[in-house]
Amino acid sequence: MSTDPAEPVIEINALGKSFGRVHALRGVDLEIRRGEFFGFFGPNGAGKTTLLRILTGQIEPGTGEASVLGIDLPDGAVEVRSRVGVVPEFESPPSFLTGDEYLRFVLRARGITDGSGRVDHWIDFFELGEHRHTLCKDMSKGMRQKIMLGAAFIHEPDLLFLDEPFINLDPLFQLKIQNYLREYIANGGTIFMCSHLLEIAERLCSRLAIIDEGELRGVGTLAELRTEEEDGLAEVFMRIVGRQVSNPEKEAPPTPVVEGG
Amino acid sequence: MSLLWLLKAMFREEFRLQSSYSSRMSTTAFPALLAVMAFIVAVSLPLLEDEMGRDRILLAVHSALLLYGLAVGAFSFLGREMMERRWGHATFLLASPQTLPISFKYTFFVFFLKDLLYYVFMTLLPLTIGLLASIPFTGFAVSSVVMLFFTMTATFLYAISFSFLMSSVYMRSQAAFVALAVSVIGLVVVSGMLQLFDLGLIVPSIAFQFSGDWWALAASVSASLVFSAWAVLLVEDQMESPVVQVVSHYDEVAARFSRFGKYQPYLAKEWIDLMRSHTLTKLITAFVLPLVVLTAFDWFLGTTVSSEIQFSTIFYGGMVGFFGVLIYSWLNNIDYVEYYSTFPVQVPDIVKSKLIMFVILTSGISTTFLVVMTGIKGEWSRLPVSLVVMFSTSIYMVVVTAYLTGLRTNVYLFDTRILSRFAILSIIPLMAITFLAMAEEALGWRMLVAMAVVCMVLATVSRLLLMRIDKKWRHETFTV
Repeated sequence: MSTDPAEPVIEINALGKSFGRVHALRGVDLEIRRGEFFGFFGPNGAGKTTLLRILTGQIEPGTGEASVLGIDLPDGAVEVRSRVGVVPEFESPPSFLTGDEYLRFVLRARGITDGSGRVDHWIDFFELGEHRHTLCKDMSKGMRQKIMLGAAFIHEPDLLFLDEPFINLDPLFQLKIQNYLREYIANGGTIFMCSHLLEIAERLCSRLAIIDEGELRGVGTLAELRTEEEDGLAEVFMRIVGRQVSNPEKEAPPTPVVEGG
Repeated sequence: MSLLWLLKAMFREEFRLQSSYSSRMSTTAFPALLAVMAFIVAVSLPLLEDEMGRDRILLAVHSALLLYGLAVGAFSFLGREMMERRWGHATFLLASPQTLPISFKYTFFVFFLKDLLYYVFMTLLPLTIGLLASIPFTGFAVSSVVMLFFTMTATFLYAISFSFLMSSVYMRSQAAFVALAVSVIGLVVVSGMLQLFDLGLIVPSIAFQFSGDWWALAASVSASLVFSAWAVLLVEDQMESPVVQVVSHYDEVAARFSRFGKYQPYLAKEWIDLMRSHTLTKLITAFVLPLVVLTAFDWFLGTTVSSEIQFSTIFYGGMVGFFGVLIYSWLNNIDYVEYYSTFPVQVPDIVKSKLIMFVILTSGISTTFLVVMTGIKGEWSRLPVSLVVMFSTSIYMVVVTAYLTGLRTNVYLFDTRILSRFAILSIIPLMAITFLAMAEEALGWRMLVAMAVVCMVLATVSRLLLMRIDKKWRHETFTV
């Protein structure tokens, strides 16, 4: 794993993407350097997952250019995916493989044939020993998420793309994953993460971007983005996306009606 | 939730699902394409009628509808699968009872009704309109076309209801399913061998078609209602699945596919999927069933309809090849493939691994079936030619299907543009092989030469399309 901090691992120029009449991304410019823990935030439907899917070669950009680890997209999509780890938006490992088998499948698909030690390591890490022979379709959402995380980490990639990695995990495992990701960065890895969990992201991310309606509204460190009056990422986020949570005193929600109450 | 509201909502859901894969225009144009195809077939029918006779053609239509109904009616399987696997991130109204105060029996009943109406309006009605439009050219009587619509609907209803019932029985008890299936098949086979009663008693709508006896129609509809009501009653309102623990053996399975290079990991996964999802059993059934119906059809024609033409094993070789499309379709229907978007592979790699699995599966099943048929008919001298025809058509049809539909066969075949290409690419060789097989006595050695030419053309086209799969599907995503 190269550790040159000046080396850009993700370069995006004037990237745009539309789905029919919906503009998911509009002229996005971004550069992420090696060793960064980069957080990507925005409201629902802002374009976060679309960007992550373009950068991992899952979909093609509409306009502009993108490269990952020096590989141009979309032509180098397979090569990019062979060198990065991806945790997708939905925790959906194959229904009829066990967790143990899925990790072995991932290793073989990545050309690693002797991976028993790695499989055991990640099964132990996620405390899935009791469930390693359970079919993925019969696992809880949390277990499936652990399997997807294990599948992204198991080949020790240079770069991780994480879409809501903490979703469905209990607080203990959220903490365990945070510690692992810190260690991963310390060892020279790079992370691109989308998340709505701003408190966790604030503790982890070295730099961040906020996107809304397909446009980047701000990029920088938290210190660079926040004003003197703002305490944390949540307030920065609210200001930048220009929306406020409705005031419950001003806008009272409808009174719930309990039948027979 | 009123029945009408839920029915309309399910119709919208079905239409939007189809439109999400192709275009709204293609989905809307699908019935129009069927009408045009029915028109073309009707106009060219006199040629076929001379060769086969009207009774045979009508029987073929009903046999096809029986198969169609049996194939699409397994709602109880599909419902459970939809809920267990979530089909990627799409969810369906069928799963509403998980969060709303309605029962699964109710939603399954409405789902059954929706599918029945959807198929009648999207396929049977357009086919009838095509036949009606051909009247100035064919001279069909309006009353006979209308009669055909009702008998087709009755046959389809009968098959779809029976399939629904069988799938509900399966979900309750696999032993009961096997017992019922064996009983029904046994009844058909024994009655066929002993000539106890004719096909019209097993499928009353066929009797109605030929005799015009309204009691036969009433019997068909009544039986369908009993099947569907029974199926609904058997639907479980608690969709709980046991947590299944198995012996993990991926590496051992992968070792068996070591000769397949970069496809090895995916073939091992496919094989495990086939076994654990019981798709191999369903798949063999789905593959063998049409052939059993075809055999029954052959038997029925041989015993009850006077005809000089019998189906030879060469004809069966062609048919076995064409039915192979079902296997490819099932291979694409086992599980969603969204997780592949994180793998260093592209859609063509997975398409090709499914093609390899298809060859592995069909080589055994098809060859066995053809050898058995050859034995039954005592036509050992025709076996080598039959095998060549079977493998040529199998490979050709599956490559055409893979080229046109990629990993979404069931969905893309409802796209008008794709269906029309599929129809052209499959009907022409199908007709050529059928004609040559039936004209064997008349043509003699020239039939063999012509068949060899057809097989070579199929092999050449297969190779060309196989090479173009990469280009066509390279930019396709795994996500829905």
